[in-house]
Amino acid sequence: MSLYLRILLIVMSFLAAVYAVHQIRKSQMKIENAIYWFMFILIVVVLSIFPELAMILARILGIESPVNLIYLAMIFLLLVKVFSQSIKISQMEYKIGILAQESAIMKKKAEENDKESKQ
Amino acid sequence: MEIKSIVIIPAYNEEKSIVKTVQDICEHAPEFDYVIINDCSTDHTLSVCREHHLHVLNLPVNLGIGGAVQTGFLYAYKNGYDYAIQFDGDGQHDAKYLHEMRDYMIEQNADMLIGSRFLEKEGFQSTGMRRFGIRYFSALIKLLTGQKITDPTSGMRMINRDILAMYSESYPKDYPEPESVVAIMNSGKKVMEYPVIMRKRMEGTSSISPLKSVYYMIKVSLAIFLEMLRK
Repeated sequence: MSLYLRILLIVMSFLAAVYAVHQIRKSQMKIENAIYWFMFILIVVVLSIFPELAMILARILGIESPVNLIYLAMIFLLLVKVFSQSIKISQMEYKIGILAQESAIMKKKAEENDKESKQ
Repeated sequence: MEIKSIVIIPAYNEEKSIVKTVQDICEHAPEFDYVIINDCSTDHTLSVCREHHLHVLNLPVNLGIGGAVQTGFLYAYKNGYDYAIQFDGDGQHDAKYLHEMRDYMIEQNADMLIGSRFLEKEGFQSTGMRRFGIRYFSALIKLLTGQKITDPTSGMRMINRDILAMYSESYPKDYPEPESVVAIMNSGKKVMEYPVIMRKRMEGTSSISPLKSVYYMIKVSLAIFLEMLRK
């Protein structure tokens, strides 16, 4: 890994961390959901500061260039994240559906009760 | 004991045809209750319903056809209905069949009765591409379950209380008809068909555009296969 790439990764990680903290403070993101990104940033920073780690891992896995190992790891982590997001979205759609249906039925019931009490 | 039956009318932008649909039901099937599910229409469906004092369930967010129909199932189940029939709000379905369909269902002891356009091949037979799709689903269902359903995409389906309970619990979001039939066939329920004549829609356009139909085919095929794996 070149020095420039390492510096770039560290700077970007720092900016990402600042942005994440900012979003949490504005209550735009829950801490539970931010933990993943802090871990992600941590891994990138550690590998950038100690490129030897990436080299050792790359050699063990038979990957020629350590930077490829970093790409591979990032793609893998992101895929896992996207997949789990898909599951979460499905669950939320399901829950929203139940809420909408229950509220529509309750509202109708309330209207009917209203009508009856007026009569 | 009296049998309680209800017509479930999912409505998305049906301001022009909804009143006629309800009139048709009140006239030809007065012993059936009905409920309209307004799935967040962007036109005046809701105000038209309110104006004419129609029974309407108003969904606060758009849930799609599956979610809307399921709302009706849940409502019917909670209110103790024995039979419920799904009925399009766009004037394609004819209320004169409601009574005979229920009688036939009771007589045959069926769990679901599908109003089929193709049993006697009368009336509006859908358009070429769509018929091809319907035949494809029909063949797929026959292959996987062994039973022939001539009109698996029909939106005119009567179900009993058992199926009401099952569908209130889980029902597909979009293009729900074929896979939900397979789901109940898989749990050993009796599905039958009844010949009906459908009209061409009075107003509005079909929810299925050419591009969407590709998605429809893939989604429903996959859903049917997954449904079979659940066994």
